[in-house]
Amino acid sequence: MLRESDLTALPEKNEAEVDRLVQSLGNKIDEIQASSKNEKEASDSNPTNELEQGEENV
Amino acid sequence: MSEYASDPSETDFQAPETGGVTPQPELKKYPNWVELAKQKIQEILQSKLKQGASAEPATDQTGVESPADQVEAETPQQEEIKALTEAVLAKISEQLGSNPGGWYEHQETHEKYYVKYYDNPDRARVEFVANAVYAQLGIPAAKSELFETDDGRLAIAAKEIPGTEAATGEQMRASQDVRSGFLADAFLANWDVVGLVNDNIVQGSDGRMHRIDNGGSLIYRAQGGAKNYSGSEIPELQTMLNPEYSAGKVFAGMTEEELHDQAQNLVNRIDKAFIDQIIAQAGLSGEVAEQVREGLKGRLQFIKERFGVEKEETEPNPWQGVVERLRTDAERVKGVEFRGHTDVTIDKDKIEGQRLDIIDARDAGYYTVYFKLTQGQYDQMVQKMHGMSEAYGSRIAYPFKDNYGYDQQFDVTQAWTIETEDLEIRIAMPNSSKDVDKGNGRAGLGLVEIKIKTTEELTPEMIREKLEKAFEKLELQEALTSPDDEAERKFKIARYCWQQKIDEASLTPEDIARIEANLQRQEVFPGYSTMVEPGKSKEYAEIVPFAIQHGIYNENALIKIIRAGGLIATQERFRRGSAETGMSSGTDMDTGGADSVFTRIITENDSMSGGIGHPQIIFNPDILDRTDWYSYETDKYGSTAPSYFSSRLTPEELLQRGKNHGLPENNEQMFRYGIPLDKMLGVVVEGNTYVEDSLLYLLRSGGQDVDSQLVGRLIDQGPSAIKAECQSRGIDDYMVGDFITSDARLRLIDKLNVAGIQEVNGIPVEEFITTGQNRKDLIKLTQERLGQE
Repeated sequence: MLRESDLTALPEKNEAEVDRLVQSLGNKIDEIQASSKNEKEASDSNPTNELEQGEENV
Repeated sequence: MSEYASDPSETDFQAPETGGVTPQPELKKYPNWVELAKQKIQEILQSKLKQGASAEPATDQTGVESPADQVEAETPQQEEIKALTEAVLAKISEQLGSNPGGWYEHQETHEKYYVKYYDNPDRARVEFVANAVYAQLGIPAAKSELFETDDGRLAIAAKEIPGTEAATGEQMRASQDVRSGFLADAFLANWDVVGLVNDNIVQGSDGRMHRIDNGGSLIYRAQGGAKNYSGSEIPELQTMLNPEYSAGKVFAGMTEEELHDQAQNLVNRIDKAFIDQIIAQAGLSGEVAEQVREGLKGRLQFIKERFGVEKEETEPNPWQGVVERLRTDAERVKGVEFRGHTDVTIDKDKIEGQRLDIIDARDAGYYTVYFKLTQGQYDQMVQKMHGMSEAYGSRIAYPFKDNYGYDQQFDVTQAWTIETEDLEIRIAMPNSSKDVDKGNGRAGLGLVEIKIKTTEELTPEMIREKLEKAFEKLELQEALTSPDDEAERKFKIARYCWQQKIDEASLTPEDIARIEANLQRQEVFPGYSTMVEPGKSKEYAEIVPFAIQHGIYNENALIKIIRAGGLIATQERFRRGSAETGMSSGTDMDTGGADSVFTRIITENDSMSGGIGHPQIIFNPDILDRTDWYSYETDKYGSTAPSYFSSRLTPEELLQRGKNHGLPENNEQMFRYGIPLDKMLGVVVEGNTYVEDSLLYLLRSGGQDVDSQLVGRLIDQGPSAIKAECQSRGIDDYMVGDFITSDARLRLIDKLNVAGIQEVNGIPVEEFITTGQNRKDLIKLTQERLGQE
């Protein structure tokens, strides 16, 4: 059984905990930016397809 | 404490100084983790969002720039990043900001814990339940325990997972650990399993993905608000696969087959009894307990019906529960400097006792596994080792801490050593001494030591996998299988023949049938099992009444024996890291006696005339039901050297000799591994005929009359009562102390009381420790104690 009085705070690990969470945020931002870029590329390519398809239809 | 708000813009980012909670002294050096986080987030935002940060960033009430405000939320992506930034800050604020949560180290064990303090104790309890469910399912997750703080709040502490690193969503999607836990996440409604920024699952240095924050499970949201946790269905089986949410992004694409396998595992490992047990263990009560219980039981039933699975009856798996048993044992012997240990039943005929002894020596950097090869197998192994080029010579030695806390080693024997990246395997070299009876560690003969190098807790499957590799090296793969019925039968016969010194060939079919029916495997010491023939000791007692005793030469050893849970053989004590030495530990390691504990038998016809002498532990005679003890009529240091061992007595021979002409005082009865505390009936010390007179004299020194009955009563009641009475009479403490020290029984009771031991096996120590005049009194006391049972 743990007792509070047996525990000593570890500031350096708390700092590492902050780093880990900030790192996670950074990774997530990368993911969001990557997916945003993919979406943009996908939407950029769509008009061409539509045009090609439209031309065929003509 | 600041609380998350449903709208991130309402989140309170106040630092401890302004949060109304007294900052912890340890945090002074780093007064504000939230400020530090803001700075770090600012840096990361600047590098990732080159465009969009305003030239004059907004500030919040702490005067520190709020990084989230730097994100100009013009697009949905920027909106998302802003919300996530605020959520990360809110999390840091809650866990490290305005309350004393965060990382701590245990001053004695140096284990590191992540501690969270909740204002609502049920949040801690519910998180504990969720973690326990993951553990039961074998899914890597935080291993937590609850404890009460000095000011009466409930906190939850999770043990450190070494070397953790942030994992990306992509890594999670590819991880079997993450995917295989999906059904458990849905079962627990752990909506926030992945975390808003994929921060609730981390990769450990063991390469596995661990779910570290399961506080948003069952009836609570991650932010602590209540949520509906219904048992009638599991909507999370759909919602948590929706890629609009963090969890869905990770779990998308789960197949029906994967879900079915996970359902089978869940139904196999979790039942209603487990749910009740874990709710009770968490200390949940009242309405909250019922909500959690109904939710879990209902969802268990839902899973059975939805996937058409029922609990599978499985073959008993000897490895199941190994890690829990190690933990329980370590807890049991806490404070005795013993390492936790347990055993696993395996093999047919290659390993002595069909058992492996596993010791959790991670304090020294490994789990150690010990076993002894049977004679024929050992001879083959010796031949094999002579021809193995990768084996080099070293020694088997047991690391332990001495009484001053220094690391020491107890040297056992020379050994061949094979080393791999994660294993050290040692096989004892055979006896090379000319003195075959007392030389070169007979206790090491046949001994194999396997060290699994790790400081981290392994799962039973991982321990087994590592051992498989070691056994492959030794070409012993077959031995790692559980004994089947035939192996069990053979082992019963072998044990019986060993103890009764009978050649197996001479057994009649009736003998064999009787042995098979009567012998059964029992755990005769915590973590040690052998074959037992229940009731056999009663047959022995019909030959001649007897008592079994063990003398204690150092009274302090009794405290250690009680705390360790019984008498433990020298070899086991050293393996488990205890510095306490026995009477002749070095000699016993040579003779082979170190594998056993030493006792003596006293029969009614013994010609002993001496008194009790040292305190004597008396044992329940039913320990003679065991088949793993051997007997000498006189002292042989428990030798297993062939010249002595062939002359050992069978139990009947021993007691027949006791009946015919009594046994010598120095006879030896050797019990393998140990004798547990619950087989100790009491401790008998030399009676002191002057004790009443001395106490009368002492009490009278207080100057008041003494009732003659009071003296006898106080002596029965023991040192505490005597001290209290003397104090009330104004008698000096040192005189009382001198009196107590002068009497063997009172002195021993006092030592136990001072060590915090008030009773043994439910008997108050004042009764447990009793007096006798001569050694034959031990027989009478044994019978009395059994009559009391």
